[in-house]
Amino acid sequence: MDTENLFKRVIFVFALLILFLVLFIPHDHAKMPMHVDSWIHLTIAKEIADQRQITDTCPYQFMQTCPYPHGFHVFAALFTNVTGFPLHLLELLLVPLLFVLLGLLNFCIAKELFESEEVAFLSMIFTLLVIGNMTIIGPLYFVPQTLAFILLWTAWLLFLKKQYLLACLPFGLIIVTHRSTLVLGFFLLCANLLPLLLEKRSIKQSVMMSLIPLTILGLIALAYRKTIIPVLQYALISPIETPQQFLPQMVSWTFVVIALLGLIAMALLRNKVRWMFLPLLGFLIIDYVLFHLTGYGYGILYRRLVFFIIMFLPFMVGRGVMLLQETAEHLFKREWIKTYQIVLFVLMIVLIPKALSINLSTMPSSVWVTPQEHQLWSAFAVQHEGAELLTDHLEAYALPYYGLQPLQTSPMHLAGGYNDFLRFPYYYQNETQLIPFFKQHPHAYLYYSTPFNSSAFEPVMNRSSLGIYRFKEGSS
Amino acid sequence: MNAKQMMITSSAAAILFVLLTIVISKDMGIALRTSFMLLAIFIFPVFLLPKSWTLTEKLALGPGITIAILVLLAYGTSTILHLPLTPGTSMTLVTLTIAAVSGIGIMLNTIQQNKK
Repeated sequence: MDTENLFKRVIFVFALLILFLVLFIPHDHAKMPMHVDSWIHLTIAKEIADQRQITDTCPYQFMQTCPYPHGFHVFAALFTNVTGFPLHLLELLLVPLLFVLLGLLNFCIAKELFESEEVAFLSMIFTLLVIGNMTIIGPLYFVPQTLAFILLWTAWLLFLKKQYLLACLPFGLIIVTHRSTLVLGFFLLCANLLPLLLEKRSIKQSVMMSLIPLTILGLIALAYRKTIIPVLQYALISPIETPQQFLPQMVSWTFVVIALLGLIAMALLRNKVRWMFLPLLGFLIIDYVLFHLTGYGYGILYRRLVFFIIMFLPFMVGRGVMLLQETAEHLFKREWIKTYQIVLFVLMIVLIPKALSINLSTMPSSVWVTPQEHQLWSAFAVQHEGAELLTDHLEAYALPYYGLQPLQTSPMHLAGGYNDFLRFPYYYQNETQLIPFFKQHPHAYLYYSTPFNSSAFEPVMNRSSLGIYRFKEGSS
Repeated sequence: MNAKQMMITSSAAAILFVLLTIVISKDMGIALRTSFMLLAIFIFPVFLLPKSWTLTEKLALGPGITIAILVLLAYGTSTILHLPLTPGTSMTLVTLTIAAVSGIGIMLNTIQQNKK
């Protein structure tokens, strides 16, 4: 460790502990995956673990081929194969650990870029600003994007350390892990090559160095061309996506202003960072502003764009806070301001709790599947393997994990089989509409988490207020 | 950081991992196997990666490199060799991954020494 004394080490470990606990406590409280997307990917991972091979089929009722690359699922399947660890608990175990790792990577990358331990530490602690909510399926959940960003940041740090060949390993895995992160990866690679090419003395070396990873990437891209073409269709030629959330509403104006100060500091003060960050962040920010002004984006889907900007936010905020300290030193010219870094200290006391509160406020307060539902569905699936079950349209996405078939699926999650008819009758427990449906599906079952009294349905399995019901034949 | 300090660090990490996995899985056997896997991903690379890197860099870079090798090996095993990804195969892949990370560390150390 580079930190020089015990106090710095204790603060460093304490900061890592905060990063761990900020995700561990809510996940431990929930006990189950916290987002419907986690269930989708865990189910695919379970399919790979059960089949013991990488398959292209998706264990959903309406999907023939899987729309996702499998890198993340293979990792989860391998992990559970070796350890026997239940897949649905992996989110609780790995997400907080990967968040700590993201903080460490932010520290090392910022140290390489800014050559300052203070900025590096600030970038690490402001990893707290990397939040997750409905539109940003980020490090809060166990989804491919979480792993892909760890891989991308690893590749970036290796690139900064001039380990070009080694950088190809994590970069190669991003190709088969997450498509839009790969798009950002290409932008990031170009942004990193720019300063190398601008160093006149090393142009030949830089070109050679950039050719090696690009060639290898090209070969990998050829090998996985089935993945690359959807990448281009999905992300580069992006469909219009209306902006849903305004960045300052998500991370507050305070951090947006400090981040812009950081960006100004990068533009004015450091050549190495200037040529790396400005074209990339400039592109992302201009695209973001254009989205808000015109409703059109150029190159990246809006929700990914917000997430990409948020991933760079710790560096910008870290540099911005340091700029305020440097400005105070310059303006007031008092020795004690410089010696004790008093402005930095005060800002940290104010801003770290604020970042923490922003992170916590974006945590979901409920889970799609509770531990009690997990127990009930597991027990039901043992006796009725492959049975059709009508649940809430988002809970339905967890059903294939238990080997059960959903009868309605979410309209937001790619499935073409969303049964619009079932949504409201299900919510309002409307028998007159449910009964004709169950007459057409006499072998299907009905699940409710609240008490359901009906002469047309009889309970098959109960756990406190939760119940699975069967349609009584002959009911009208 | 010397060998003794590294041993202490990794032992502390192992104990923390065991405690964490026991809390989550409530099963000692699963907890021990999971702790081994977590050590292989997060801690073993610290011993294996080049000496010229700082401890923080090794801690930050190790897991990404290890996961990348592990999953790419699994991809190759399944799609090129057409071997099933059984628990035995998976364990072999983890062992091969540790060996590969070690090889990378030795190679980078040698390159560094040759430069000197």
